[in-house]
Amino acid sequence: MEQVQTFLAMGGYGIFVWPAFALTAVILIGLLVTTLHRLHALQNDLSRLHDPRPAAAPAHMPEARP
Amino acid sequence: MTRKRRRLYLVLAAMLILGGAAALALGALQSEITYFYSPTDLASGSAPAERSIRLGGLVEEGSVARLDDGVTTTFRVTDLTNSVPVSYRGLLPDLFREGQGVITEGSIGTGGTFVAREVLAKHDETYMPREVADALKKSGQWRDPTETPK
Amino acid sequence: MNMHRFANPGRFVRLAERILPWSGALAVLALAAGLYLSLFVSPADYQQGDSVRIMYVHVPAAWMALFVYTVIAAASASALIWRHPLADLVARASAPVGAGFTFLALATGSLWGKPMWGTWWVWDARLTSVLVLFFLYLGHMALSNAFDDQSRGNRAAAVLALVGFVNVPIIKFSVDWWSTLHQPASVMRLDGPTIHPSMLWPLLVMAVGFKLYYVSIMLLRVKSEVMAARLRARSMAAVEAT
Repeated sequence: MEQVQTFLAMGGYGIFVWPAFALTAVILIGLLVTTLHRLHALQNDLSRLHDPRPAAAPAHMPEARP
Repeated sequence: MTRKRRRLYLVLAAMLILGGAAALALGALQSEITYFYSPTDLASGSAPAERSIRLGGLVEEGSVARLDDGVTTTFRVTDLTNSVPVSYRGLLPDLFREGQGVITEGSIGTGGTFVAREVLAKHDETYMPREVADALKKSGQWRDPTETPK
Repeated sequence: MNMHRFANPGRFVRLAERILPWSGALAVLALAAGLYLSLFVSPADYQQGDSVRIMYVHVPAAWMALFVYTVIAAASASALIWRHPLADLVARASAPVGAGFTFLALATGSLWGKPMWGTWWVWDARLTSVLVLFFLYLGHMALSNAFDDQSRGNRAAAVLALVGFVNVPIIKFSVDWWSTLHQPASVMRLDGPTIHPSMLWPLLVMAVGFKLYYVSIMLLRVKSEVMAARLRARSMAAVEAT
């Protein structure tokens, strides 16, 4: 328990070290999630276009997404 | 083919002109971009005396003293040619220590003492564990920053 | 809009799908190892104590900020000069990732600067030029989406990327050319690194992780861009047919 506390304290720099690593995780994971999300949305739109039923127009234009 | 070649030369020429312009502009702004002045700049008068400036250098070994009021610290900032006495009221950053780089912002007060409103510690580019630093000091291979200025 | 334009991107997507499992797995591995090394294995610094661990995310992020911008500038040049069909897509795919890395470099640097320097921020040449880099990324993202005709947006963004490239050597050498609060380079210097191996290794492993992460994300995003272009071509063909 004490070891964990010493580790978390980071020699008094815990309040700087942990936000730095947390922010890194948020940015890296956030970028990955938005990238995969857009990829899957586009894959859905494309496969809908391949669908034989011609009524299925694309649900939205891809460039509307930021 | 020729269109591509022409576009290549166009881009290269544009980059060259742009780079030249940037170099000229930065050269002209040299003194503005310089973040701090050295004690020698102060002594030779090339630093503006009236307005508030930043003074950078090393904290002279053995010069740090804490005044009786408990909040004022005095020390000398040196570039190993000249040195300037500095006084500062307030908390010092964690890297502030004798022999280390420091940047102070303030102005020359009465009696030639530089009165600092802010003190920033400058970190050098060396990283090592404490044990290694101790071992180096013990074996006499330690390069004191005040002995080998860059 | 004829289909042969997408023959090349199609081949790229197939190549990307072959690379992605490897680059992704290796990125996760390197980042996990880097995290372990920097939090548990690396010793505390003799001056900075444990705050040195911030350096293990700050420095790779800063390196990547410059690297990704260089990729964008190179892609922009080949898009403007040779009209390479993939180049615009690589630039578009990279800009948000580069912006993320630059933001990380600025934010983690600030978190280190407060306890060590005694300030969150100073307007010295290094910090200011990196902030300019961040704005260049944002400008690139905004410009490339500013026009209804995407190729016009890509063209404008490519010009911006090339103009902004002057900033890259300025960032790199700012610490040597001017007196800055930021310290000079410790790893990429002519006389060898000034970091002890026990701290250099965690840094290098983390840097490899960051680079593999960028490669993986970039491939995924280029794939998205290729699909978006296909979707646009299809829907335009559909509009013309009606």
